Amino acid sequence: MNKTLISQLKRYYRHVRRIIPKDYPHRQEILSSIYQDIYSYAIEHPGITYENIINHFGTAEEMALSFATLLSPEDVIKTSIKTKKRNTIIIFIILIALFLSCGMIYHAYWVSEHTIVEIEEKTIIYPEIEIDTKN
Amino acid sequence: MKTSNLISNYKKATIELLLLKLLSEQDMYGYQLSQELKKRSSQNYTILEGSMYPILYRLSDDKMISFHEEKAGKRQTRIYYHLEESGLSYYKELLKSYREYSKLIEFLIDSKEGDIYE
Repeated sequence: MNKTLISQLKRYYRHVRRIIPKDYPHRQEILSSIYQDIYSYAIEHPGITYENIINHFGTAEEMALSFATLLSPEDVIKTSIKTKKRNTIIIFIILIALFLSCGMIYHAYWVSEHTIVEIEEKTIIYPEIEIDTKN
Repeated sequence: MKTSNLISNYKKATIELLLLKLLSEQDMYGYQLSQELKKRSSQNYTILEGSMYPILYRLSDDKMISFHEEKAGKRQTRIYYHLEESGLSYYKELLKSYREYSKLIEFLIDSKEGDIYE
């Protein structure tokens, strides 16, 4: 495989990875199997181009679409429950972070309002010194 | 509905059966499975390689198939899928119901008023 093809494939993998939902069952195993297949295909067809690979394996969008249609009703329910759970946890964490930062800001404000600041004034009086200008 | 949509629905309904059929003959890796289907159907049954993996992993979750890795060359590792006993009986069951159902559909397509399926 030439360098251009390798970099194009890396971009393709990134796109596929981005487009397939994170909660998809066995996502990681499926992605690595696809990479293996593309690798096998490229080895079996020396001099292959990126376009040939896309024609054979489909674009990232086509792949994602076929993944979505192949999900069983149980998997759809499982995935949706997982997504809901994850979203709830994220919202909960954001709310706690927001609550804590509000608390900290209020605490800082309260401390600044209720702290007695003591300002000490010092006056130093130096003794008069006569300067002998004759010498 | 477009014919292409219909065909994709047929594929969706039969892909599991066909993957099990191939695995009932011998252990195969993913790429080999899709190529075999393509070859046997004279390119008339093509599936995106990626689209069969969700099915294979679902069958593996249900203990119908198992998989093992084998080194192929210096850098390449292949995952071979193996049909388990439970998978074989599931395949036979699936095949039986598929045949019965397609027979029923065939009958209904050719039937006239008054014909009853037995």
